[in-house]
This record gives sequence, C-alpha cells and structure tokens, in this order.
Amino acid sequence: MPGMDDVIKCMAQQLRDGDIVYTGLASVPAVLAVMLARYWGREITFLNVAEIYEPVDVSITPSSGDPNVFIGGRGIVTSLDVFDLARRGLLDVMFFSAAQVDRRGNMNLSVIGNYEKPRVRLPGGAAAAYLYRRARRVIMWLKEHSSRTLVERVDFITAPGPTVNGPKLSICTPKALFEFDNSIGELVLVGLLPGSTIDDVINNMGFRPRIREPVTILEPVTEDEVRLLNKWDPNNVRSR
Amino acid sequence: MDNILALMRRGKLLGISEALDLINDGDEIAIGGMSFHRNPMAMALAIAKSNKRDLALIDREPGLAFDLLTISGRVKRIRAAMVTFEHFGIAPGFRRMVENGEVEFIEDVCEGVMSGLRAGAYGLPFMPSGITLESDLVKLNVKRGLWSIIKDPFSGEELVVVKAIRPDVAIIHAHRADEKGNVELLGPKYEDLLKVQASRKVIVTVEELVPEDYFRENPERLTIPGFLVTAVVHAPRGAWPTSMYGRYGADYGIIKRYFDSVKAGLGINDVLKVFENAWDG
Repeated sequence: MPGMDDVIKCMAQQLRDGDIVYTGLASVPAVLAVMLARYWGREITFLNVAEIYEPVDVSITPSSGDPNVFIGGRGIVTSLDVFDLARRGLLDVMFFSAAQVDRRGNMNLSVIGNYEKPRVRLPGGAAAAYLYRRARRVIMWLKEHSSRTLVERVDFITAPGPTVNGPKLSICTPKALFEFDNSIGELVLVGLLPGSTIDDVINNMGFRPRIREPVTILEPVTEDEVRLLNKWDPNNVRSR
Repeated sequence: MDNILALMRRGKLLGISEALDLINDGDEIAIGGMSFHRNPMAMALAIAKSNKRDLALIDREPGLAFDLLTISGRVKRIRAAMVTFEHFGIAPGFRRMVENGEVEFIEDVCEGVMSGLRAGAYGLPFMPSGITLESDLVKLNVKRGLWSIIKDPFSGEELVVVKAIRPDVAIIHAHRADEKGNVELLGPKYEDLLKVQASRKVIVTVEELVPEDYFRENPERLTIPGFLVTAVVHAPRGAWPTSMYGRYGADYGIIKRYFDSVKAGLGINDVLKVFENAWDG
C-alpha cells in the first residue's frame, strides 16, 4: 500500500513551472515532492532550511534540515534570506504539516487541549504564524486523515487560515485533496486519492466540507515514481 | 568587565571549564546551530553537568543541545519557534518539562526570533515583523511584553513589532579559530551571526585551532572577527552527535538513544550516559 507515496505525488502535483519553494524541518515528504515535480520536468528553484541552495539530488535522513541530505548544491542561501524574500511577496510555495486543521484553514502546531495545561505539548509552529500567510501558495500534508486532524475548530490558532486575498492553500491527506476557497473562506473537497471515496473522506473527518463537483480522482504513483522515491529515501523515512 | 579585558590581553583561548565561568546564574543563552546540526554539544554537556542555575535558552529551531539543557535542571525558561526531533517526534525533554510545568516555555515564531535578534544585532529597540496579527500567539507574546502591535507610521497599517533580543551569552560551534577569536564558519549559518552580534558575550567552540596567519593568508576565510568573540574553546568533534558541515554527519543512532532515554523518563544523569563515549575515538 503506497499510502504516503500517493500523498507526496499529490503534493508534487501542486507545484508549477517557475516556482521558488522552501522546505522546512520535519518535512521529508515536502523534499520528496519537490524532487518528484523536478523529475517530471518542472523548473523549480529549491530553497530549504538546511540552507543548501539548489541541490541536484537528495539522500533522505531523519532530518530534513540535514545539510548531508542535499547533494550538489550551488552554495548557501540562509533561511533569513528566504524569509526576507517571502516578506517581499516573492516566495511561491511553503510546505506545512499540522496536528490539526479546521474548516477555516486555521492550523495548530502548538497544543492539544488547554494552552496553559496542555494534554499534548506540540513542537510549535516554527514559521507558520508568518509564512502560512506570506507565501503565495501553501501546500499542506497530513499523514493522518481523521476526525483528530481535520476538526471543526482547532484547539489553538498557531496560524490563521488564508484571507480573501490569499494565499492559495492545498491540503493532501492519505484520502483527499482539499483546496481553500478564498472567496467563501472554507476548505473544499476537490480530489480523491487512489482507493478513496467521498463517503470515506467525509466519514473520517470532524466537519462536513463543501464538495466541488466533479471530484478529481488522483492518479496513483507509478512504478517508476516509487523506484525514484525509494532511491531518494531507501529507509522509507517518509512513511514511518 | 575586568574579566573580559584580562582575557583580551592574554588571548581568548580558554579551557571548557574556564569558559563555563563566563556564564552566570540567570543568564539568557543563545544556542547556535539548528535541529541535529552544528549544535554546541561540548559546551551544552559541560553546562548540563555544572551547577549553574536559572538559565534561560533562546533559539529559533533548536534540537539536541537545547533539549538536553532543558532537562538538565539548569534551566528555568526556554524560548523557541519550534522544538522538534523531526522524524523521531516532538523533542522529548521539551515535551516532558513543559507538560509538567517544570520549565516555562515562551512559544515564538521563526519570524519573531529572527526579528528580535536583528533588533539586538542592529542596536535597535525593536524590529517590525511579518508575524500574522490573527495568530493566537500574538496576544500571548504581547502580554509577556515581548511583542507589541503598532501602526506603521507611513501607511497606518497595524503590524507586530518584536522587542530586541540581547542574550547574555551566545554559544556557537564553528570550524576554525585563532587565539584572537577570529572565526571561520563554513556552510549553513542559520541565525548564528545575528546571535554573535546581539549577545553580550560570545563563546565559540571550534573543531580546529589555527595560527593567526591562517586568516592573513586568505582573508576570505574570516566569518566572525575576533573583536566580537569573548572566548575560544578548542573542542574537536564538539558538535557530536549532531552534524558538522564538511566534517562529520549526525549520529542518528545516538540521537535515537537520547530520544528513547528521555521518553522513557530517565533523569539527567542516566541520559548523560548516552554521550559518554563522545570523545573517546
């Protein structure tokens, strides 16, 4: 069962020719999505938290901030420089995951439960309360499609959802592709991952999303793509 | 201050325990590196084994050194934008200590730490930022007196400004330095150069000591000029088990052992055993 590989393919499909993208910590799926989109021939400028500019290849380790992951870079571009780029409105894509995301696109990486006495103290949102609004597009992935991760209202708004002016937000889960409709301010179900159904998607989440018909059925990873993902990530860090 | 002047006269090369003397109880310490990469582990282990008290830590996206210090009993307050062990999970010491209320956690944002360090480095009282006004973090950090919401005097639009961060000490691990404190730092920089500028004292541990001629032979090698550096400590493999760009990779086996030990609830003395063979070979 490919599972995460299809999620990575879904993320890669959100990337476009000419994009300037940045990947952060704990973001192995995002690194692989960039590599897959490049393999398809999309011209992408690849910036990352390891600060290795424009690597030609990757070799995944447990850390997406590991400079040794990124092979054949052209030099160092600091995260400070990338954040400045984003503040000037020129960063096309930022990737995020979250513990919770809600109907309004609000995301939570801070706490489960009460903020002062949390049931789970999450790692914190890193750049979220900044880049989740300042990148032109945000691609989010969730490793789990459930009523725990897709909730009516997040426990804490680490970063608020997009406004009518942006950014564009797409969310890939193991079951579905959602897009944020900026005009109504809600997540909309637009695609199904291979093997999933609309009922399966809706019965396993904490709110009932709007649906944009006709819902796209996403293609599964090909054998060739799986071979590449295994080459980049031989220890399958992406799925564990 | 006399201390520092005396140091300048005799050169800046210190042993690790002498460098430890530069850190006072209650000091705020900026930790160099990021995640599992170029952490100042030699110094972090020395602090963890010391009897320092009530320290505060600050970093943007810290990892092993920060987490170790968080459970060391030496630290009462930590400030960061994200404390993650990435693939392994939430940083285990951070999670345990914050959930149990044993350390105070100031949850920041990358943009907040960068802006605050910039203000500190630039010698300005605060820095405008791109922090999103509607984040729930804004009211928390405004209440703490670290952030404020002001009107852009030119456009009239509201924005979050961040108070200058001026740590008492920065601890950075680097590649090479001479006895005058001139430093060569290769590869990723993170915010380490801002931390050096913003902090009142700077301790740089290095893989290799070089003669002063090293920088004169090729001035391009200089990353941090000696006048910004308080002390240099020779600490070969001083980032281990985190990675050192161009020299050695992260030792994920040891990092996993640390993660499992802390997650299993072991105390600091047992956790420190994970690092015991650090500099044997």
